[in-house]
Formats: sequence, structure tokens, C-alpha cells
Amino acid sequence: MKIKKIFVPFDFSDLAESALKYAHWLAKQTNATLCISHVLDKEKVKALQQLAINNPVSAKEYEEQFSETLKIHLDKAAESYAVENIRILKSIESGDLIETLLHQITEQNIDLIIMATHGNAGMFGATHTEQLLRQISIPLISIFQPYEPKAIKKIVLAVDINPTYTEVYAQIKAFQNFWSAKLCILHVVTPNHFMSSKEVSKKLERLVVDSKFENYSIETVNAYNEEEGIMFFAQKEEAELIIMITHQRSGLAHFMTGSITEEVMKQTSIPVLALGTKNISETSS
Amino acid sequence: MKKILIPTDFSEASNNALEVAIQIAKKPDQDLSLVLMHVVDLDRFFTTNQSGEYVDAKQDPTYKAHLIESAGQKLEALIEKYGLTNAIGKIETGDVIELLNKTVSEEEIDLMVIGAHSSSIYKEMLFSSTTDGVIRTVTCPVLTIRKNQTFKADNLVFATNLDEEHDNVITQIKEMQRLFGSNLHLVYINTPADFYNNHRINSMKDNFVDKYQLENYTFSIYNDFTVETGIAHFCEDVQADLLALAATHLGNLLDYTISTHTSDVVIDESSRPVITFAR
Repeated sequence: MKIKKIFVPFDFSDLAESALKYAHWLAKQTNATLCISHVLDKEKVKALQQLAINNPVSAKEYEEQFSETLKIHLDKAAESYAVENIRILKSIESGDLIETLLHQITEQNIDLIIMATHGNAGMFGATHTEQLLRQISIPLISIFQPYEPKAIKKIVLAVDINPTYTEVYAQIKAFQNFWSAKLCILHVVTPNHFMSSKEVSKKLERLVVDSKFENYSIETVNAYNEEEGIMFFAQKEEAELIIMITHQRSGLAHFMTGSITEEVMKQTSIPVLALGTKNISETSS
Repeated sequence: MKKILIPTDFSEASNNALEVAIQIAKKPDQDLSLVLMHVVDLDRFFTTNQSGEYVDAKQDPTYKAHLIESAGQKLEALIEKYGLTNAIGKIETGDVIELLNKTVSEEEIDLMVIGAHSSSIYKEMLFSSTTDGVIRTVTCPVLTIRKNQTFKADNLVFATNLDEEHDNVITQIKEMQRLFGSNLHLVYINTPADFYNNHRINSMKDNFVDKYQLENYTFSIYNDFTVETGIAHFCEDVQADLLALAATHLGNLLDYTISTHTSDVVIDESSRPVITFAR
């Protein structure tokens, strides 16, 4: 599993700290470089400037001052993680959050993103994680609650029976093998998409044959909706990671149908790794 | 001492049932005796009287006596054929269903073993929707044997809704589990019409197992479009030796031929023994 650069969007919140801790833990195992990024939202700067309207300091100067303060804070935050030969790159930029992050991710050749999901919905009800998720072509791990990193022994792979995931099988296996974890393949049956046990078995068996997974188990859980089933199962199994496959959509289509991956990310206490099927990533080993 | 009742009409299916009952009775640690019973349905037999008219056997005492004697001889022959030492034979006349019920309560029968497809009377009793009510009123478990077989009950499947089973039914199932030395496989069939999530089903199961102090069992949740197809498919999957049902679920399951939802495979469910329990 080739992970050379891990990207952590950082907003100084406690949850971002937790994401950074997790990223650091991963960096130790993979010998990756940690790229910590704080993006100064232009909107925020404007708001702050409004407050300082009586102060004759110019806009640019203000921004520079603010950046300096942030730089000090960011250095401080990264300090404790600079140990054990972990290379850390820090950046502070200002601009549109998502655009800036995307730009950095491409420019710096990032392999994996670790991101705190606050669950605060912005416009159109999407969190920053969700917005990012729709446009990236690399894996992203979402941290929704403070999480103490621990050895990954069980991975829950939530599958949807119908689409095929040939692009991501290799990636999933790479992650699984890296930690020598057991893969618990889960299908959730809901009243709206009911399937008989026989049908589920047949389709999951075919998936297993196509993917050539090893060290796995197959489970079916009945739930009123998919996210409930996934979380119920992951918690019961005490899994350390949930892998979900996103079918990236953008714009109106997504808004209408919603995304189970995003729903799970906003509710679970277990880190969620999202793999997109839009593009094939370079991180398969 | 435990008593097993085998209704017989001297057909091949009845003999299959008898052979299974004998296998069960041979169990070393049990004290089991057999009661073979034949009911002469006088309504079915006709003869002509002196005037050349058809009269049924009820109206002709000589004919009736002849039928009873001939049945008695057949029963004797059966007992001799199998070399049964711990068996008694009973010949009765009248309504089959009433008489079976009467015998079960008077003789304190512990288990009835019956053959399917034996004759139209028995078939009617088993598969007719009006008379399957009889199975529900018989106060002992009824084991239905559908083909000649070496009876084994290592894997006993009990399909349950975990909710409305009567204490009596569970007591009888546990008794049978003990008698046969079976592994009990509980199964809950989840259908779209009556959908529950795993969380809910599992807590119902926990209450159920706790209330009835079940031991040596496995529990599965199995999805299917109807309860009947679910039970049939599950039994196939686990290669059940014996299917246990509360009599309220009987319906037309015994003779169920089903085509699965997505393929043309027709499954004939008629060869697995079924044991039913009334309230």
C-alpha cells in the first residue's frame, strides 16, 4: 500500500486534533509525510475586517497579521507530532475552502486524506467532507468523533449488491493486507430494498469470487435504513474501520438521492474510509 | 413409559411411518411402546342387500363384523411382520379424526407418527384446510413421515416468530429435542410484509431463549418473501433432518411446491419429516 503523503485539513478544533492524531498514527506505520493544511476562508477574513472597520489597518496588512498568528498556532499544534522522524509540511492559505484544498491535494500529490467531519451542514446541507468527497479521486478517512487510534483488526466493508466494484477491490485488499485485518463484508437489507437471504448469498458469493477476497466473512443485517444497519453491525463487531464505496455524483442528482456514505460519516464513532468509483486511484499496491 | 400412536391404513406410507416409529422405540435409554390403530370407515364400504340395493356397512351388521375381523387380522399380521413385542393393536369404527383425538387423550399418547400420502382419508386429514384444524386440536406432537427413510433428527429446525408461541408448544419441543437428542436450530423468517430490524429481532430472541431456558441451540434470521418459502429454503440450506412447527403455522406447508423468486427451480418439500405441536 503506497501512502507517501497524508493530507490533514486542520481548523484548530478538537476534532481536527483527533484527525491529526489519527493521521500521525498512520504516518508512523507507512512512513508517510504529514501535510497539515489550514485554509483561511476569505469570507471569514471579510467578516473580521468588518469588525475592524474603525481600525485604519489595511486589508492586506490585516490578513498578514492574522496569518502570522495562525502560523504560530499551527506550528504549536504540529509540534507534538514532529517526533519519531515524521516529516511534516504545513501550509496556511486563504481562499475558498474546498477549491483550495483540492488544489493543494493535486499539487502535493496526496495519497490519502484524513479529515474531521463536524456534521455542520453548509449550503445545500453538505458538510465540507461531503463536498470534498464528491470531487476527489483518492481515499478519504473521516473522523466524526474523537477516536483513539488502535490496531486495525476488523474492517467492515459495506456493500450494495448491485453495482460492481472491480476498480476498488485492489485498494480494499491493499488496506486489508497492510493491517492483516479480517474483512467483514456486510449487506444491509431494508424494507425499501428487500432481498431474500438466498438472493443475498448468491450475489455476495459472486462478489467474493470476482474480488478474490481472503480472510473475510459475509453478513446480512436487516435495518430500517442502510446507515442504521452499517452502524449497528460495525459497533457490534467492534470494528476499527468502516470502508464504504461512494458513487460520486455532483450537483442536483446527489442532492436528491443523498449518500449513505455521508450519512454514516455524520453519525458513527468509527473512522470511515471512503473509496470512490469515479476514478482509479494510484494507492493500490 | 412413553407411548407412540401409529394410525395405519395398511398402505406403504403407513408402513413407512411405522418403521420410523419402530426406530424411535428402539432407543436404548427410552421406555417406549407402540399403539397401532386402524379405523374402519364404515361409510366407505358398500355391499348389496337381499333386495339388490346398495347399503353401507353401518346398515349391515354381518358385513361390519367381517370388515372389523379382516382389519384385525391385517393388524396382527403387521405386528408379526415386524416382530413387535411391545405393541398393541386397536381397531375402531367411526370418524377417523374423532377417534384419533379420543385415543390420544384416553391412552395418554406422547407422540403420533403418521404417514403422508397414505390414503385419501389421511391425505384429507393432513392437507385439507378444514381438517388441519384437527392436527391443531390433537394434544400430542404429530410426526409426519413422507417417505421410507432411516429416521434421524440430528438437526431439528424450529421456525418461530419468537412472540406468540405457547408455553405448551415449547415444552413439547424441548421434550422432543431430548427424546431425539437433536441440535435445535431456531429460525426467524423476516418478510417484507412484516419487516423488523436485526436489533429488534435479536432482543425478541433473547427474551424468548431466556423465558424458555433453551439450551443447545443456534439462532438464525432468514429473509424471504413469505414465511412458507423462508422455512423451506432455510431447511434446505441447513440440511434439516426434521422441521418443527407450531400447528398454527401448518397451512399447506407439508405439500408445498415452490418456485423461487428468481429462478424456475421447483422445490418439493414433501420428503422432510415434519413434527407439529398443538397448543
